[in-house]
Amino acid sequence: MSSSQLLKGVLEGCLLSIISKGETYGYEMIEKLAQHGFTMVKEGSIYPLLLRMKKDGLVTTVQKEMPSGGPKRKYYHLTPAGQEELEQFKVRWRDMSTSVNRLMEEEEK
Amino acid sequence: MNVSKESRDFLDRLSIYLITSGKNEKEIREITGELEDHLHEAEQNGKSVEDITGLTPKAYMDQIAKEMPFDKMGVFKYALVLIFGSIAFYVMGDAINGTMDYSWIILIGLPVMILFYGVMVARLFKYTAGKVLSKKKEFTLLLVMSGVPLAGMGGVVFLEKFIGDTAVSLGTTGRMVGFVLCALILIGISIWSKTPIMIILPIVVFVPQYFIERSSWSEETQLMMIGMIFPIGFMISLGISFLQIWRKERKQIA
Repeated sequence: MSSSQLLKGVLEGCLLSIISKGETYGYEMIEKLAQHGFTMVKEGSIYPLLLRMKKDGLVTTVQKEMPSGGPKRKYYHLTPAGQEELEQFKVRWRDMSTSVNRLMEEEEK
Repeated sequence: MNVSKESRDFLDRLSIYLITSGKNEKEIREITGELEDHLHEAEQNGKSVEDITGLTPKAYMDQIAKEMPFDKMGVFKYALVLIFGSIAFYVMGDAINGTMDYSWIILIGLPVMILFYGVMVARLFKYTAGKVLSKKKEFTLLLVMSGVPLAGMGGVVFLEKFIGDTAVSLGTTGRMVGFVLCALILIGISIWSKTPIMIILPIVVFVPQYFIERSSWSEETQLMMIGMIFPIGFMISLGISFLQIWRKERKQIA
């Protein structure tokens, strides 16, 4: 199984976490993901996901003027439902990662 | 915003793909604008469109399209404009020529064929947007695919001429009202679509036709000239429209 297949299920949670730290835009999210070691994420793959998250009411967007002028930039914010989803993700991830780690450690013994 | 030619081409194709998939115009502008912003920054860091999408253009476009709702009202609006615009253009020609007799064949067949034409052209644009085809291939496809329903429309008109019993017939007052109504519809569509094609096309087609029919040339020459007017007029109108769109885009980039 490739990294990108593994990542599919958790990328939404990662994006929710990034957006929860303050308003941010697409390219900035990719940079933050890369800073945390997510170099396998194809940059464009976040946009269909962001569209779905917006459709599901987890995020809202606002268009803002860029400091350099030119077209407006789209910034993302978390909604209360998004915050709730993030908390649930953290619990699910903790449980799952604990279980996976335990299994892998047994494998190595 | 400055992006490379490849990125601009990808964004244009994505727009066409989403429009022909029946997505909302405002949402299309939003997502393409967001991707343009991303591509602009990515290119400054030495990345390309392929690095961003990581898939074939069509697969990526599909991923985006899947997450956008189908805009029923928008599609309905386009269908209405297409039907009313085409019928207004057709009826205007009749109003100028002085014969406004219509059979059920034309009253039902023409709107059906126009819709069929719209669907075919939309499908073709969606297909060519998702694949990287040579300009020659694209043009040939467009010619063949749009030619089929156009031939169908021609068939309806041909049938009407030979076996159509008149169901609706308009006199002089009816023709005047019809002409004014058609002119208003075409002007309205031009204002709505922000392109002058629906105003230019009737002028470049019907004005020469009016004078040719009243000239002293032989009937064969007249028919040949009238037959040539529509494609030439259509090309001129399309050229003017494209020039206007191109100028507007240049202005936006500057």
